Amino acid sequence: MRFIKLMTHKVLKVIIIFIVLCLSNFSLKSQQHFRISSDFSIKEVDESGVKKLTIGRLYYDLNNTKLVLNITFPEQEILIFEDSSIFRIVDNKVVERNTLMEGFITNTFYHLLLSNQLSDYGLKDSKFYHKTDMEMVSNQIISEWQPSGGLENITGKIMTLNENKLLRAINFYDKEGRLIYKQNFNSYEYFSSLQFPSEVIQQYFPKTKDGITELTKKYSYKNIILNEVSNENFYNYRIPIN
Amino acid sequence: MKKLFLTVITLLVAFNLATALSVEDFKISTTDYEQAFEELSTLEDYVVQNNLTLTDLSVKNLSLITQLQLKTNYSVMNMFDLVEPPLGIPSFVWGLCCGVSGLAVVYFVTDDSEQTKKALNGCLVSTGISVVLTVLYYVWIINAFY
Repeated sequence: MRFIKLMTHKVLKVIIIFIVLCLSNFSLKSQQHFRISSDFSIKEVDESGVKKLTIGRLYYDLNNTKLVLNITFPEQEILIFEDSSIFRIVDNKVVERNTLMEGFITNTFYHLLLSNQLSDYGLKDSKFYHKTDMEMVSNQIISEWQPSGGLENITGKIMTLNENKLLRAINFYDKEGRLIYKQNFNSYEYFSSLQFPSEVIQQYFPKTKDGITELTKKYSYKNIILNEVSNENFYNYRIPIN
Repeated sequence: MKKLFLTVITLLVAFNLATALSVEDFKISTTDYEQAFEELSTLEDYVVQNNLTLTDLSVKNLSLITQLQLKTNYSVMNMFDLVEPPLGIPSFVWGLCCGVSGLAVVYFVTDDSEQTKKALNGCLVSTGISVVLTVLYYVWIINAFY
C-alpha cells in the first residue's frame, strides 16, 4: 500500500514537471516577435541650422523582411523596402525606384530589434566584423569590432557601448580611424519582453568641400504595436504595377 | 615565470584598452541643437493635429516654414544612403571606361536615373576624348605626308 502511494506521488511529480516544462516552452515561444509597427518622426538639423522633418508610421515584418513607411509629412507617400529595392509610391503609383545596398533590410534597426540582435548590432553573427577588444567601465561594456573578410581596406572599426545587456551607443570609424558616424539609443521602454529604445539619435560627420561638417538626426517612436495581425495591407504591401 | 608573464600581458592589454576606449567618445551632445529640435517638435504636433502636408503648410503658414529654416525641396528617398553603383565602381567610371556597354550595365543593374545620368556623362566624356584624339591623329598623319 505504501509502495503504491509512493509511486503515485512520483508519477504526479513527473506530470507536474511535464506541465511546467510545456508551459515554459509556450511562454518562451510567445516572446518571439515577428512584427512591429510604430509612429515615427525624424528630426534633422545640420550645422547651418537648416531643418527637415519626416513623420509617418512604419510597419516591419520579420518573416518577409519587408519594411513599409507610410509617410504623412512632408508629403503623403509610401516607401517600401523589399529585397534589394526601395519603391516610392504616390497615389498608388510607383514614382521612383532605387537599388538598396546588400543586406540593407537585415541591418535595419527594426530587423535587429525583432531578431534579438540589437544588443551587438548584429556584429556577433556578421561575417565582416570580429570582436577584438572588450572593456568593463563601471557597469558598462565597451567592445571594439574590427573589419575582416575583405572589408579591411574599405572601412574601419566599430565600437559598441552596452549597459545591462542593452545597446546604448555605437560609433563607426573609417579606415584611417576618423569618426564618421555615431548613434545613441535612449529611453528604452519595455513591451512584452522586448526592450525598445523610443529615441535614437544619430550624428554624421561627412567630409565636404568646406571641411568636416555635422548632421544630427533624432528618431522618435511612439504607439508601438508588436505582432500585429491587422493592417495586413501594409505588412504585405503590394507594389502597384504602373 | 608563467604567472609573471600573464600578469604583464594582462596589465599591458588593460592599459591599452584604458587609453583607447572611453565612454565619453560615444555620447552625442545635442545641446547646440536643443532649440531646433524643440521647434521641430512643436511643428510635428501642429501638422499631426491638423493633418497637414508640407504643401498644405506652405499655403496656410508660409512664414512658419521660413522662420523655422525648414527645407522644402527634398525627397524622403534621399534620407537613406541607398544606391550603390555596380561592383562599387562609380557610375561615371563605368560610362567613361566601357562606353555604351558601361552605361547599359549601370542602367540595368541600378535601375536608377541619377546613376545612369552619371554613367551617361562618363560615356559622353569618353566619346569626346575619342573624337579629339582621332582628329589629332588624322591631323598628324596628314601633316606627316603632305
